[in-house]
Formats: sequence, C-alpha cells, structure tokens
Amino acid sequence: MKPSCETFQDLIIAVSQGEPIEEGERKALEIHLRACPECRAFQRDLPGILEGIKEDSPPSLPEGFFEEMKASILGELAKRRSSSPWRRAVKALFGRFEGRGILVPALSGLCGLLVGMALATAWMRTPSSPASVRSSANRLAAVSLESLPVNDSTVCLGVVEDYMGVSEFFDALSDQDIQALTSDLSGDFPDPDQEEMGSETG
Amino acid sequence: MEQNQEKEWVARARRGDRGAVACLVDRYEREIFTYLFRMTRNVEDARDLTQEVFIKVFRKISGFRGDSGFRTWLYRVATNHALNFLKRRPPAASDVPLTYLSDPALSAAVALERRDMASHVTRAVQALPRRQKAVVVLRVQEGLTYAEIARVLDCSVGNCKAAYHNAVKRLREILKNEAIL
Repeated sequence: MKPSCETFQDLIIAVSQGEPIEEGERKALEIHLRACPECRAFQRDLPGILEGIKEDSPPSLPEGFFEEMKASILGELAKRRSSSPWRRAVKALFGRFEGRGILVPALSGLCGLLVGMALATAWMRTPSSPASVRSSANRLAAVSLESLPVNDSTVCLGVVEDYMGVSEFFDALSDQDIQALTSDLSGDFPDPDQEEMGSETG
Repeated sequence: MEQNQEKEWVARARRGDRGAVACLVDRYEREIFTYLFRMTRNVEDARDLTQEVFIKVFRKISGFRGDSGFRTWLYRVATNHALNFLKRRPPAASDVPLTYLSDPALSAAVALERRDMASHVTRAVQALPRRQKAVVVLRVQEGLTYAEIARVLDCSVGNCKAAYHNAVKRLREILKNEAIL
C-alpha cells in the first residue's frame, strides 16, 4: 500500500459518514482513486461492511421478556427505596437541593445546629435528672455523628436518620424508666461529685 | 415535544416519582438491551447488564445534572458496564447467534448472500478491541453522533473518529484475511 492510501481511506470513510471534507481533499481523492486499485477496492467494500453491521438485529425473545425485565428493575428499585420512612422524609425535605452542591453544606449545618442545641441543653440541665440523661444521649449521638465523614448525601441521610432514631428512643422513655436506668448505672459508675462529698465528710 | 416530556420525567424521577421512572424504563429498556446484546452477544448477559444499568442510573439520578441528555448518560453507564464485562469475559464464537433482518422485497438468493455477509461482519466486529467495538456499535447500529460517542466514552471527538476509522479498516482486513471480500 502506498503511504498516502491510509489518508485517502480515512477520507473515503469520512465521506461515507457524511462528514464534511474540503473541496481540495475531494479532488485529490478523485485523482487518487483513478490511480489506486487498492483504495478503489476499499471504497467498493465499505458499503457492504456497513450494511453487514446494520443488518445485525437482536434475537427473537420470548413474549413478555421486556415487561418482566421492567418489573424486575422497578421491583429492585422499590425494595431499596422502602428501606426507611425517615430516609424518605429527609429526601422529601432536601431532595430539591440534591445535585446543586448545597445538600452537603445544608445537612452539615443542620447537624451542627443539632449538636449546638444538644450541648447547650446539656449545660443548662442538672446532672442525673431525666431531662439531663436525655440531653446527654442527644449529645452522645450528636458527637458520634460529628465524627462521621459527612461527604455525600447517603451518609448525610443516614446520619440524620440515626440521630432521630436515638432521640426518639430517649423521648419515648418515661422519667421513672430513666431514673431506674441511672440508678442502675450509678452502682457501677459512682458520681465523682458524690465521691468528693463523701471524702470530705469521711 | 418528546424531549420536553423526557426532561419532565427525569425531573420527576429525581424527586422519587415511580411513575416517571417506569416511563423512562419503558422508553429505553429495549434500546439499551439491544445495545448490550450487540456488545455481549448473549441474551442472559445483556438482560442482567440492562437491569444493572437501570438500577444504577436511578440510584444515582439525583446526581444527574442534565449537561448531556439522559439517553447519552444511559449509554455512558451501559458502555462502562459492557466494557468491564467484556474485560472479564470476552464473547465466545458460540455466543454469536445468526439472527438477521430479512427484507421481504429481496430475492431469496440476495437475502441469503446478505445474511451470509452480515454474519461474517458480526463475527469480525466481535474480534475488534473493546473500545473500537463500542464505537462501531454506537455509531452504525445505535446511530449516535461522534459528539455523543465522545461523551459516552469520555474522550475527544477526534479520538472517536480515529477509533471508528481504525475499526472500519480493521474489519475490512479481517474479512479480507478470511477471504470474505
């Protein structure tokens, strides 16, 4: 093959694809084709090759093949979506911000606000009261959340969901339940304030 | 009109509307299945990959910005899946079923000749390197423009054109070596 044939065959393919070529290139191609049997053969073979590719059709499939496949896809998606009502609620609230680059900062801000509120409440409450236990639980949950990498929407959604779950658990407990819990714990973990008072009195 | 409707479906799908998701699956599942069948030459593999592609696309749809069309994005995910699959398992010769369109206007002899040629070309396409094969299938069979293929394969338009030209030359070489041309 002559060195220039490669270039002319590219031009033949370009013409077959309807790509624009310059007038000078078209004339040069015509002249080359008159003199080059190899490129003439290439030009002759090309339509048959492209037709051969186009004629390849999908196989005959059983009836209902695509309906079944669609049902399977939708079923799989529904399974993943129905995992949690909290996830759906958060998605409904923040879904519109997704993809605009502000979901993560917005949720980070919300997490920060919750942490701040939890800490402020904890400082204002008397130790060992049921309300204090609740706020301590909130604080513990919030601090745990803070240590998580909040770098994508899935993690954010999970973070808020987990936080809400912990809060709800403690909110559902009665004051007596919490007092019972703290009295059990106080046996294992003596209150340092009480110890100090004990040593002074002792 | 259709494009506006599709944009509306995509927007609704992003908000979790299952009806819109069903409409989009309905519109594209045949096309994507056919494309993946042409890449894998196996019905079961093409079906599994199609399901994976749609599940992935709708799980990530909140991140779809719409810079390229939804169809192009779908092809991009499908192509990545197909190329990864072919890397693990290149198609065997037995995977190439001989099912070709028959034009009732053609005489039996001409139709037979065309079917014969098509089967040889299909086998030759399977012998191409994976990316060249993707470019040929996307361009000739799926009718994507070079610009769309460039977005699907994440390369320049020039690279796509070069890959297509090389693929066509390679196909002719294979067919000539097999004394088909």
